[in-house]
Amino acid sequence: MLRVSKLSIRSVIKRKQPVRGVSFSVQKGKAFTLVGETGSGKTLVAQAVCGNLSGELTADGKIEYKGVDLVRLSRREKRRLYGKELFLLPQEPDSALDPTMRVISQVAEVFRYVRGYAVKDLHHRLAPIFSDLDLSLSEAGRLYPCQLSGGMKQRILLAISLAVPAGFIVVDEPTKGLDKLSRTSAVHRLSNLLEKGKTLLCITHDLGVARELGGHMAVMYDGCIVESGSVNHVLNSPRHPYTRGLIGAAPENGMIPIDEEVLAAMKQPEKK
Amino acid sequence: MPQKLSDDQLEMANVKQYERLQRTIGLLLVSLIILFVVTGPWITPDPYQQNLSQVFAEPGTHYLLGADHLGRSVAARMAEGGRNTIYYSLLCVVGSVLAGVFLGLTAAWYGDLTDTLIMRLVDITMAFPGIILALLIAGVTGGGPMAVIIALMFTGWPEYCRITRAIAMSTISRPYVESGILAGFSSIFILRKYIFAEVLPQITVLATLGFGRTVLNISALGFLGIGLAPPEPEWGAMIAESLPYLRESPNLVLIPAATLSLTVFSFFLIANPLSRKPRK
Repeated sequence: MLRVSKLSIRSVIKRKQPVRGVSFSVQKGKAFTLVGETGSGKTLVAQAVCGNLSGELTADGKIEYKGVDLVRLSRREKRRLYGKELFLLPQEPDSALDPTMRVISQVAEVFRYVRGYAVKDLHHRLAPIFSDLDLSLSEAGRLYPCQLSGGMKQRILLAISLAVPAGFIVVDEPTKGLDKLSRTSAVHRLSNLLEKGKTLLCITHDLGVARELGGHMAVMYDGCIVESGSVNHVLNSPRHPYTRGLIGAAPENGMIPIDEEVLAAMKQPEKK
Repeated sequence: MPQKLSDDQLEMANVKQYERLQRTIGLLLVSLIILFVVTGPWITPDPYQQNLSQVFAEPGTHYLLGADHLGRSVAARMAEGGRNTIYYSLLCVVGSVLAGVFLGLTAAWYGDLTDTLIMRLVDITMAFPGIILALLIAGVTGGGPMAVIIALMFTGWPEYCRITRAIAMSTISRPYVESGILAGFSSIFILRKYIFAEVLPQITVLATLGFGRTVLNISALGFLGIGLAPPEPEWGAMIAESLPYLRESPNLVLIPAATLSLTVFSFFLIANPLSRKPRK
């Protein structure tokens, strides 16, 4: 469904290449998880796929979505895909919702203005989505974002991702800032998206998310993919020393720091 | 037991009370001026009727504010002139706001070359003195109220454009607007729902202040003889007409000048608390 080939991202101002030669492909109806530490370039890859890199960054290479190269598309052409084909579940649920609107209106306006449903149909479109996400339409729906907890805001964003017709959803750090219980439920809901036939590109530093979503994954470090393959294969028999270090550094594995020598050996000279 | 207010809370309460008072006085004055201007034709005689036996008549029952050098009712001419001034100011402000907001939103939304072109146009227009431009336009078009309106609209829009662009640019970069774009909302929807909603309160304050300023500018142009042709009354023109008779009847200058100052001041009183009011 999505094939990324030799994707490099260059910063015009800093004259750096924060992402270099990244290649992977995402199969329809499956999850692909990009893991790596903070600053490894995962979010930039997600932004390049969505076409919303900040002005000073430029992408080279190919991002083929259903045979169309997203890197070559104009802004207007990309905007035609948003919501209909592609959707980004943002990293910060706190700031991704309009603070001045009730959350029910924010989900309803996706049905109204993106899908074009009539006002009288909105209630019976919203009700199953809210009940799927354990949210009360008449109570939680009437609140403003500032009155919701982090987990509830995340669920509202998931409701929006269910409301849009897009089949390909880029999820950026879905478990950021959530406690263990909310995290488990957030990941469970992402699995539900897969069951509903959506394809996921998930960006996370949490290896557990990749394990629970299944499919394929890639490990990024310093702007490059160091190892990729099926989730089971990468997590159960990692070949690269950095992947082994990352797995060992997870809280459930004792948080053993990654060997400095491994990191030093992997640091690549920057291409100018 | 009643809770004791801290010094900060007391100061804030005082500021709020002071601003409420400002707004009330401003609204009361504007209402009085508008009431006088609107009811003028019923409570005052014909503003064009000359009565040479009543030249410089003192204020009385027939001539509420006295009579001018041609024996015309000053009150009637103040009401008629006020109607003209307020009507043309409204046209100027609405025109400037519409043009400024439209161009500001266009510049912020499309960015790049469109933004550069619009902003350079703003710089060029802002560098031009409004009164000189009005004289130039009046010279080319032969004067009249349209020349004044066009000139003031031409010099008024850049201010609204700049503010709109600045607010729109900061709003566009907010994550929820970006999420809206990625959710597939149309440009018109994003501009109307998210960006215009942020722009509107600021522009309302600016337009309220701008209205007072435009009244002053129109009167200044009227004073210079550009705008409405005599015998049409206009506050600025009335001051200019009466200046030669300042010794005989100072009221003829003082009344329109004071009303003009009061109008500008009352719009300032309304706009000032608005500019500090936090959004809910």
